[in-house]
Amino acid sequence: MERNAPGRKTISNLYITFMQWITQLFTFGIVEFYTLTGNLGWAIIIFTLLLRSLLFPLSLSSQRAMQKMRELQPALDKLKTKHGKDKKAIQQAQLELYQKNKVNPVAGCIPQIIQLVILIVLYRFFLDFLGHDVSNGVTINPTFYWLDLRHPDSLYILPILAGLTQLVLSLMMAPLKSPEAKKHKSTKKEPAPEGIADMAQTMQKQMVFMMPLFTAFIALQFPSGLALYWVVTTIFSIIQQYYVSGFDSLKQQVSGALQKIQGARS
Amino acid sequence: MLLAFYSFTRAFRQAVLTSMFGVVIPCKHTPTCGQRMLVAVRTHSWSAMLQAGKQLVTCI
Repeated sequence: MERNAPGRKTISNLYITFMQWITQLFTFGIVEFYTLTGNLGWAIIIFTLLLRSLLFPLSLSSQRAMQKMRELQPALDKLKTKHGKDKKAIQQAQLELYQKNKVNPVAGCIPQIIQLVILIVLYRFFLDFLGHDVSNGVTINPTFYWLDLRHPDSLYILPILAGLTQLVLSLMMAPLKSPEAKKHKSTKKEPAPEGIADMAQTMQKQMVFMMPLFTAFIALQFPSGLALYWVVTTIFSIIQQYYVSGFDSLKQQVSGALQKIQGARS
Repeated sequence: MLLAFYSFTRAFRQAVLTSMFGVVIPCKHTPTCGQRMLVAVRTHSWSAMLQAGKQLVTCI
């Protein structure tokens, strides 16, 4: 334990230095936008859009590959019905299908780790920034329309907006249902999840509705500045998703839900 | 219970990252290191745990 102590100290020092540097950089950016616009809300919006625009080229190619995978979903469903419970045969057939269609959306865990680090850094930065009255020698006025960006929205408009935008994005990201899958579902009740993949898929379907509720709850608990950032970044994601796939999945999900409601009424 | 927890955290992470970045790049390994670790914990297999750890460390 004693021998590890200097190493651990160096790592924690590096982490603190990195966090301080990033926080200073972000603070500088937001304060500059604040002095430019004279409004913290607009400064956060411009900052978010700029950050997402910088990340846009990185995520676009992956998003296109993911879209291609979603388009291949009907073919994947066919493979699953064809091979039944032979998982190895399914995997092999999937691999061949991806190679045939030149899809390679997979990667190591590095991109996800980078994404998570950015997320944590931003979260910590916003909480820190919104906790101070003065940043870089500039007194910040936290008022933005009806909001005090340092406190949760008392009118619940921003939390509702956060939940709604999250719902739209979740529905847009949901995979398109193939006729095969629909037929399979209508003839047979959904079986209880057996494996990890089944459970993960079930959970992902539930997350479509759980995530908006969670987002709204978070927006209610945290400063409005953070909620504003979340709303803007989700809207950016919706536009980005529309650019790649349009509203097909959203339309299908909404019409499916409407049909279910009509079926329940009659 | 463990499976539900694993699936929930995985789905949650993906939902958060999708909202933040518009995309989550899926893992190249099947099974993923998380799935391997889950099986290892469920079966109390140290060797499976080591394999999962090795996959995570060598994943680029």
